Amino acid sequence: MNRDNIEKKLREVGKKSNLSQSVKDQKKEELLAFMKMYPVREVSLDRHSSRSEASSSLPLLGLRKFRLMHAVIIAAIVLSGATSVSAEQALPGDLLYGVKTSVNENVRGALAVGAQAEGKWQAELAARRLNELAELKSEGEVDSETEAELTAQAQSHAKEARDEAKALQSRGKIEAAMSVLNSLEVALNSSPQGDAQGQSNSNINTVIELELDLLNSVEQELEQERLVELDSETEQGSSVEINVGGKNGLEIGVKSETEASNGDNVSGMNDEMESHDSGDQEQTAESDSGTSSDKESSSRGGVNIEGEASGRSSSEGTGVDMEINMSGQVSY
Amino acid sequence: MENEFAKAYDLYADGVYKHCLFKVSDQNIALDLMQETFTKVWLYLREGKKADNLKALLYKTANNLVIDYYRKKKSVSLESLQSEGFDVAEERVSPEADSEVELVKRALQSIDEPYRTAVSMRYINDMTPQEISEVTGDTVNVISVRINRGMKKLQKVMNIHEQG
Repeated sequence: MNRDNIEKKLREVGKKSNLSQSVKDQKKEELLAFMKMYPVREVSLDRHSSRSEASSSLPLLGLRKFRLMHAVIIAAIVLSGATSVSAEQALPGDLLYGVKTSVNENVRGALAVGAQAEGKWQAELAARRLNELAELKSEGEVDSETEAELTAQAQSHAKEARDEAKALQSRGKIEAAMSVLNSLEVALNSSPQGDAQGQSNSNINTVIELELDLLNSVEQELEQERLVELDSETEQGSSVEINVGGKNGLEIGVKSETEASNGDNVSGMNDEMESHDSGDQEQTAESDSGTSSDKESSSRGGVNIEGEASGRSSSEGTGVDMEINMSGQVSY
Repeated sequence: MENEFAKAYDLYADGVYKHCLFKVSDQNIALDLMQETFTKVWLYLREGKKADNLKALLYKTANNLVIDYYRKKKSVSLESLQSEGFDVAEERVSPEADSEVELVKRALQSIDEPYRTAVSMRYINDMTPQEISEVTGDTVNVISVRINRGMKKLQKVMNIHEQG
């Protein structure tokens, strides 16, 4: 039997195996009944459905599905935008407060890239929690649990901001660290402390004061580091002179303290900065800055040596310079 | 949509039925599978899901139902063995006017997969290699090769029959 023959036979088998018309009709009836039991879903539509049916159920000319999808998406976007905008004003206990903290703030937090932006954002979050607490208090509907919660959150955010500042500091980015601390300070100060309801706000105030203290100590560390950095920058004129300045630094420091003509400038600058401070921190701060200005003047002395060393022949300068000069020469 | 699906039934019911029949070798089971195929596809379509190729979708669904059927059958093997034996006996005694056609049918059932399916879809269901490839997911080339080899195997079996 050749292949064509087999093909023919196979087709014959196919024809013979067809359903008998009666069975086919019977099964068709069953299928149609089944289809009536499970009619086409109203919302959905596809190309197999007839056009007239589509336009009668919804007058969107067969594009119903797509239109509907678009409408849903647009509505979702509009609604979510409106939700998060109105959620911004929400207070703890409000329906939208969850949206504010877990959606809005997380989104903004995710947008804050880099340690500096992150730190500033944490500072703002701390301020937000404090503001919420203050607002709740002014409305008189705060329970101790919410208060404790908000305070703890504000403190943890403030700590985050400080940590970011310290991280920046450790990486040598003093300016960025300072700006983070500044915004934290602004944020803490801007929260409504000590207003009309002073008594009930005392809790907030202590928190804010505590945070400001912590902030100041970090700030001072930063300030010192920055000054030291400035010194080393100026000292790095040439390697030999640095050596001289470094060795004689202490000696000169002691000597120049009496004259202090160089140091005045620097300590004046420090004083100005210290005027921001408050409370008992001031005491230590001042002593700190005292030592720092000592170092400052001493190293400035060192710098002066160098200046003198280079221009010695042209001028003998003031008395102070002379002394420094001499001591430098002696120990060298 | 209902009308179109009813039309699809008229067009493809036989094909789907035969497709099942040559896999399960039992008219009643094949009939059940054919009906289940159409109800399943209807349930799919009524959700508004798209079917670019309704014919291929029907055959694919039938294929899956046949596979399901064989899986279920394994778990009740004794019963199915009995029914299978009975069916085979029935087939043997069934009087066929054209014995050669019957021989080809038997020969087709003796060749192994995937050649049997390829040949049966090609000639018994009268589908093009393109249509078959849409159902099985293989390339047209693969299907063509399978049809070719299947036909050669079939020829061999027939020749043995004729000699013997």
